[in-house]
Amino acid sequence: MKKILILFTAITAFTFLPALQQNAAAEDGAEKTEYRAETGININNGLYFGGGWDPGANGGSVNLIFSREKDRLLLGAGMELGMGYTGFNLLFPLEAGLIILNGENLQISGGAALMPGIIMSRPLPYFLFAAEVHAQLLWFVSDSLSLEFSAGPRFTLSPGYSSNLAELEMIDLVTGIAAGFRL
Amino acid sequence: MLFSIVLLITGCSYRALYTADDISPDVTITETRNKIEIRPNQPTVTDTGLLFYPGGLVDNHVYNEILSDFVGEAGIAALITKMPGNLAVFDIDAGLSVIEDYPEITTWIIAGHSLGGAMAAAVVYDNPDVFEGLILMDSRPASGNSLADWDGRVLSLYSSIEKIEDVDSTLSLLPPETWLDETETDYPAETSNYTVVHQIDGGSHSYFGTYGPQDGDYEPTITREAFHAEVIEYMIEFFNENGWR
Repeated sequence: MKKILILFTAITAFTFLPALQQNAAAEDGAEKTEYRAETGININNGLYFGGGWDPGANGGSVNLIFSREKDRLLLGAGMELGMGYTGFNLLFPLEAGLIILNGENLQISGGAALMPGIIMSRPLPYFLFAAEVHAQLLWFVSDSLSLEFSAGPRFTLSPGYSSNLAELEMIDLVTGIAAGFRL
Repeated sequence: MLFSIVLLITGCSYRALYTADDISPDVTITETRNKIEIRPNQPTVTDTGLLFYPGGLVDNHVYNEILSDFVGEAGIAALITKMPGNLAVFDIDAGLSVIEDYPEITTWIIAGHSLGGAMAAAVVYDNPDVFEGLILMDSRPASGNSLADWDGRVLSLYSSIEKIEDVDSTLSLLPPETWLDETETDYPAETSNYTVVHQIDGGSHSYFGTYGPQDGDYEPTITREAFHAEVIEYMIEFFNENGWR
């Protein structure tokens, strides 16, 4: 667990430091605020499960995220419906990111997300929590449409599931593709 | 999005209801991302294994209790194949990659509950030489996957008399059947393929695992413990009669 936290912190720092430096060097200026709705699919490539290295397909998800962009800062929130070996699950991502490169048709950003949610079970759901860092590439196809590609590690755990049934702690490399619509 | 809403309404899986105290002390359970392995602490045979396909929309741990009891008594390893979304239909061949990790096991019997049984039968249909036996629990092959000519042995268990309403069409998809009543264990003398069928009195569909009650379950008149004991008795007899144990 300690190793996971160290890895997670290191990846977060690696993702954000360049953007922070670039942001500090950038000239101050009033940039307009943009809002986007993004919908896409994620593929979870399992890396770690329970007590060790356990690579292989680990399900996937569809999501809908509303994001706000201002002054190189990205904020997002939405919903993600996933399918894995615990059944279906529902996560509510809260995302923050920084734009590293903002070209004419291309944008590269790094971000992190905290995702509280549930494993959909009955009669009662299990609490599920995931945390993720990711790099994201946006290609602006037109003024209103963008294609987005993302990748990054995600740590998922469910304390209730772990105590009742079996340890549920896993790390996936999540790769995603989405379409974004400027609102 | 409509798909998401439908899933929200229908996609919940039944939770397992057992506690750690309900698991047989005679077994060791280990788990990876895609399977649950239940091994006997004192194996009777090491070259025979049971591969299990869970029912639809039930947590794959709901069979830990009954299969632990089976493994503890039979001395045979069992592997529960975890299914994406808890729906075997999403990865019908998942069990084939699971058994690749056990080259020391040369005789495989595949079992499944409900939807898992139908998918297990589909695996047998597509891979008739991989498995020597099939155990169906309140289940049947899909109409396009007839195993009537399969050179294997089938045990078909029903949880209650209400579940055998459509049994004739089911049995037409399986090798020739012999019914076993509650106490009878005289197996067919045939050396070729056959199906043995047993209907348990007073159980319910969810009794094959440790969960429920499931929507549509009939009111059970026996305890889950008695039901499990009867299922295990017939499973072990099935293994014994076929020389797998």
